[in-house]
Amino acid sequence: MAFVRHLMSRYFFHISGSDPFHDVEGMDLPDDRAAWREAKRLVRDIENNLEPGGDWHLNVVDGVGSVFVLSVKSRRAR
Amino acid sequence: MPASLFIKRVEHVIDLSPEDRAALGSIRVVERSLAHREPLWREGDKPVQCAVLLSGFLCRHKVANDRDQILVFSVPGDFPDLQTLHLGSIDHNVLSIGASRVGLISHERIKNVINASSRLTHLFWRETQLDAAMFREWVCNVAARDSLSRVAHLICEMEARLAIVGLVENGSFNLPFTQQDIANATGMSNVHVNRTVQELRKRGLITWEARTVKILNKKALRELGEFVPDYLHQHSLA
Repeated sequence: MAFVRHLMSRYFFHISGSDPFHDVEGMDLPDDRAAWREAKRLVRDIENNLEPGGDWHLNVVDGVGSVFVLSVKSRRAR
Repeated sequence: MPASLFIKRVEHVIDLSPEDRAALGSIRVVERSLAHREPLWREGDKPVQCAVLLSGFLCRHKVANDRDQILVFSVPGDFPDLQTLHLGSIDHNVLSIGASRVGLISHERIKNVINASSRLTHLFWRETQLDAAMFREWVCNVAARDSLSRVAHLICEMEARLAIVGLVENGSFNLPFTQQDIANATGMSNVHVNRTVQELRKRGLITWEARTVKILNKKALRELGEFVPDYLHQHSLA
């Protein structure tokens, strides 16, 4: 188990926009691809935190800096 | 069988005769301790025993889409693997969450007991039906409900099931689940669970310190989670 942990990096998933959330704990993941999978799964956050006209942005950050940015923009069309 | 928790749970709904109780009490059980995350069964095993959970928690899970999907948690008094009596193999993994203790009963012994009593046959059959009822609700939880409701529902369900076997005190209960366990059970991301639990705390619905959860507002949490305990079928059959 210690061996596996050594190969993991910590990623943080910060949400900004209408309903921001600062990820204090982060997640240990093996690589950027795994972080991207988690990022997509995290889009479900809009279920409870996005109203029409609002926006939702995810910034996935590792020890070096920003890895991915994922944005959901909404607009009431009428 | 140190079946007191199992009997405690079913006697709410079924009148066990003295003979039934004696028969259950006399089943020989081999106790086994499991360490955190130690598997009781792995997917594909062909067990010749069934287990009754004596203390602690188990989870039943499968890997799908490279993700750990927890299918259900087991609480003391539950049999996580009755299907192996008739289905031969187990199609999912059964793991300990935290340290736990199970009582192993050979299939032969269970079959002897149920062959001798049609009432006990129905008791074990009903147990598998309860299992199915929980899975039906689980489907609704991981599919239809939104994230806040999902986690609220899960906490409500754990409280209700633990209360039935006397493991809730003043709304407080031991729950050694990590955020990742909750995430695996609800199909959410770990970070999302973190956010959701914080939200439940902020709304004054629960406290969650280390391994202790306390429901502060049961009515509101149940409403948020759409939790109605009917599917646990704890009402009397009579």
